[in-house]
Amino acid sequence: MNILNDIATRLLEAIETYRISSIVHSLLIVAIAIILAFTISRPLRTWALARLPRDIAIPLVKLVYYSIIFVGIIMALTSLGVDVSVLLVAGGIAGIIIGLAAQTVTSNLLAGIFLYLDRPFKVGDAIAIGDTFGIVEDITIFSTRIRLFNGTILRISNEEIFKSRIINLTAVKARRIEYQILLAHETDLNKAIEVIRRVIDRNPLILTEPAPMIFSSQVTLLGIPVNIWVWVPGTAFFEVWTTLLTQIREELLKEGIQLATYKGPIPLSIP
Amino acid sequence: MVYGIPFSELEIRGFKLLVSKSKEGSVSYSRHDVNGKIVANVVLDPTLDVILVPLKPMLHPRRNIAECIYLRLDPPIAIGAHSRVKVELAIPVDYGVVARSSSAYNIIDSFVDTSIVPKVALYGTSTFGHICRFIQVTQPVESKPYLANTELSISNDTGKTAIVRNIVVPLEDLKIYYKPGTWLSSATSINMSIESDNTANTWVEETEPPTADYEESPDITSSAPSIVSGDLIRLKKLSRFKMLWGY
Repeated sequence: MNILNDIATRLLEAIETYRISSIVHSLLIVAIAIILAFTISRPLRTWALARLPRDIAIPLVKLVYYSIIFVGIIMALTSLGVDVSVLLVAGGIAGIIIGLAAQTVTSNLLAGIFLYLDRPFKVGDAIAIGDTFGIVEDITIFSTRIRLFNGTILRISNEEIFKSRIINLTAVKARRIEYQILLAHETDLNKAIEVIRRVIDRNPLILTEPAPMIFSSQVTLLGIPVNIWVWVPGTAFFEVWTTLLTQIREELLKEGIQLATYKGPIPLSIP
Repeated sequence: MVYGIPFSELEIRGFKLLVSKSKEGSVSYSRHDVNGKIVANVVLDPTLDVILVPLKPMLHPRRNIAECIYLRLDPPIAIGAHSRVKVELAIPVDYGVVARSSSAYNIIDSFVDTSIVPKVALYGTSTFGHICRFIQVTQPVESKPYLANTELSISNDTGKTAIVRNIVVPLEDLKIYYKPGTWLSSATSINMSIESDNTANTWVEETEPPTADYEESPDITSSAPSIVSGDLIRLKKLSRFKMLWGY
């Protein structure tokens, strides 16, 4: 109220002392500020909408727009002789109070901006956050929505995501699938590898380069573990991962190759 | 029956293509596998012609996967310092079934020859590399319905002999031509310029079809939405390709 009284008093004083030119000068400053804010915010809006998510772009443009007008008003009041330091101190205190009250909101907002700048994922990417797997549905300024593979939607605050370990499953062009199957000791290993290679060669989604690897590096009490490493396009990972092992197992059994079926006592430690 | 001629029944390498008309006047296209099972089926506007054409190899094994073709030369080609060689090649094409009117066309089905598995390969790293349709190119060039003839021109701009085993070519600008009424098809020429021991540039050159009676196959990238398998193709345009990870 004191500030308003002060402004009113100053205005009256100005009128009384025929300082009309100061008022005109102040109004001119505000008018220029509005024109400047409008001139800057229009191209800024176009630029921001082309590069930033709408949720970030629009508030950013508004922030710039009102900041310019605010600075213009402060300058206008200063030219009238009003002591704006009181106003700024009051604004600062109000800002601190609001900031403390909205700490979570602010941290999520900042995390949202940092996530945008860091770009660990984008809408449509398959990601893993901790034990959570899903497709990114939407990234807003405060939270991210993930469609889990069971069809439900999970909303996670941006602050939580920012602090988490994120694995982007689709940002890469190719991914490696690793299986290990256990063959019986009496198995013809070369024949088994040949059969597995045939299944891999028939699958068009398995990459020729890097070349698939089928190898065994040890013999255990339970059987002969055979490692199968194949590369697939990132977008086809899930499809191949969920079907290839079944195809290999079926083909091995069809060719009379025995998988290990250990029926003895399980040793406490397996070499 | 062959490329570019409207058909009502066509057998091609294990597949049977049928265009049948019902009593009600509707027309349907179907593709049957070797066991007689229908693997593709589309109901058509009766005014459309159905033809078979060769397409550039970018629809298989799946749309939106391959950005380039990865040619593995067998045997490799050695080129002397500051020299240029030209080699005849044959690259596999996909078969496309096109419903055609006087002003437009639509790819209604696509398949590969049953004798080949349309494999893919990664050129480069898993982060920055490119997924390409992998093609093993053998010499001498064979003449088969699913092979399009083309010419590969390699210039070695370095001061050393270069051995070329692999060539990665952008698919975007590749064009396929076919001679209606035959199984003959050809592709635009492929160029490669070797810059160093490990890097080269490749691009497709705008070339005329072998003879005037060849027709250009529908451009998959600019085709109207196809009903073959879902999405429209939206691949990054790669008119000139930089081979950064060896050749």
